[in-house]
Amino acid sequence: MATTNLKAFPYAEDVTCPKCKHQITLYDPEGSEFCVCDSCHSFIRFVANDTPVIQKQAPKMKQQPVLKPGSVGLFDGHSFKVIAYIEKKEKDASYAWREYILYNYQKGYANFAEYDGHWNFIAGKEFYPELEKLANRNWGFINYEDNEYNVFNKYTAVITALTGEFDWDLLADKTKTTEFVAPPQIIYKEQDKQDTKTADFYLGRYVKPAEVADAFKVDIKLFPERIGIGANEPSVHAKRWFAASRLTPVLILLVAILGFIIASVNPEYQVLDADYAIVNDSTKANEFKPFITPSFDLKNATSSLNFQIRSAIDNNWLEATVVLVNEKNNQSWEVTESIEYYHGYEDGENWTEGSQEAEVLLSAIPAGKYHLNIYPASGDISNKTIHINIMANPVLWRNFWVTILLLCLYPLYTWWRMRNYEKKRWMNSDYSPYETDEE
Amino acid sequence: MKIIKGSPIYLVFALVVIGYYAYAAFSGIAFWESSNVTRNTEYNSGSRTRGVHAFYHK
Repeated sequence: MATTNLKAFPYAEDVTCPKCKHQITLYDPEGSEFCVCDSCHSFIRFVANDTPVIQKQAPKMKQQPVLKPGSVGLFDGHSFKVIAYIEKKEKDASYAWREYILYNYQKGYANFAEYDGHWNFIAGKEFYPELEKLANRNWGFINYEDNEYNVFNKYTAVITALTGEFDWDLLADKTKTTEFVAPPQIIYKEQDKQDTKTADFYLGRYVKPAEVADAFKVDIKLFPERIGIGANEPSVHAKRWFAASRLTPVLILLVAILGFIIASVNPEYQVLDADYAIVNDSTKANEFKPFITPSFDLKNATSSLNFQIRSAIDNNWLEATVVLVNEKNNQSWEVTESIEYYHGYEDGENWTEGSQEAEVLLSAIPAGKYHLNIYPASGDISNKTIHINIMANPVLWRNFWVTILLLCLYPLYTWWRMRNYEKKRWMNSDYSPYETDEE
Repeated sequence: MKIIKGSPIYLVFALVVIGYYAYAAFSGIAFWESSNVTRNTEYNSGSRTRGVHAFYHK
């Protein structure tokens, strides 16, 4: 057990390796029961009266640790001393990572784990008392402090190299580990045996290498380069998506309220609504004599106008060129609109096609006095009337829906980026919730 | 505040879009009008000389 409840780090002590007589420095001499000789790699145990006894041979290190044993740093508000370095790999797989055991004189052990340049600060219930409440259930997720952690990986770790001091026999360790992720955090469930009901839980937090380098005053250039996406690396896309998904409904509500207020302040009103008799022009096929509507005023600086043209055509067509003319300056807006309406009875069923009315929207018509020139044509020369209805300041639903669509584009984009990022993250897991290309 | 900090560019973009929406609604500007509308086909500062409008301006 680590020596805790102290006011400062205990004094370091040197012991002599019983095999090669090399001096080994212990940073927690009271708490450490095992250590490794850096010179001959003997795994030494301290038995009664702190007598060092060689227990076995430790495997040699393949890499130089970034944080040297004995180095001290202030991290997360706690003062830590690096007391050991361990290289591990997954049993029956090539995935290898590195761990640095950190000793704090008030709370005990924590550690940094580094895999492919991705760092985690990991600690147990001494640092996170809420972990005590977690129970060992063989579920695919863990609920911890309002977050759901999903299973990401299961493995048995094998030690491939180590140095430093320990309070337990690491080389005899056959712990089965299950990782549960909820970026930027990760929970490790460790069981000594597969079927045991008890388990130890540890909470990890993704840490940027710069934070570690800054805490322990190490040159960031010595840190391994980050490769791929870490199991619990926070996603900037997720952050943006969560922000946008909360903001967008508020913005949509704002648009709806604004639309309602504007429609109340600047209400829709009718400027023309009448039936006009149309007279066939006998000199031209299908054409009727043009006519002019009475004048009407538009008082707003600019207005939108919605024209509705309706005629009681029956199994026929009508086409009308409508020209809106400003009587002061002859500025004009011309539109040709066709109406077709056919119906019948076929194979025991009634059918209809087309409509007896058409609508035209004009935008930003300046204030002034206007009339319409109408040039009708129809396949039905017996047609007698055409109905024209004009509404000023209609509710512009197309503006509303386009605004909503524009507001939704960014959230949709962030969702897509987040999903792609998560898919890449879970490609490293056998428990991905996303379908893979192979499936 | 956290939400706003999470997407400041989106917020600026959204406010510009909503601002234009409000301006367009007040001014009777449709984001697009009927596609077959032709403006000022025969407009020449008050006099009509040709086309279908020659006899029908008051």
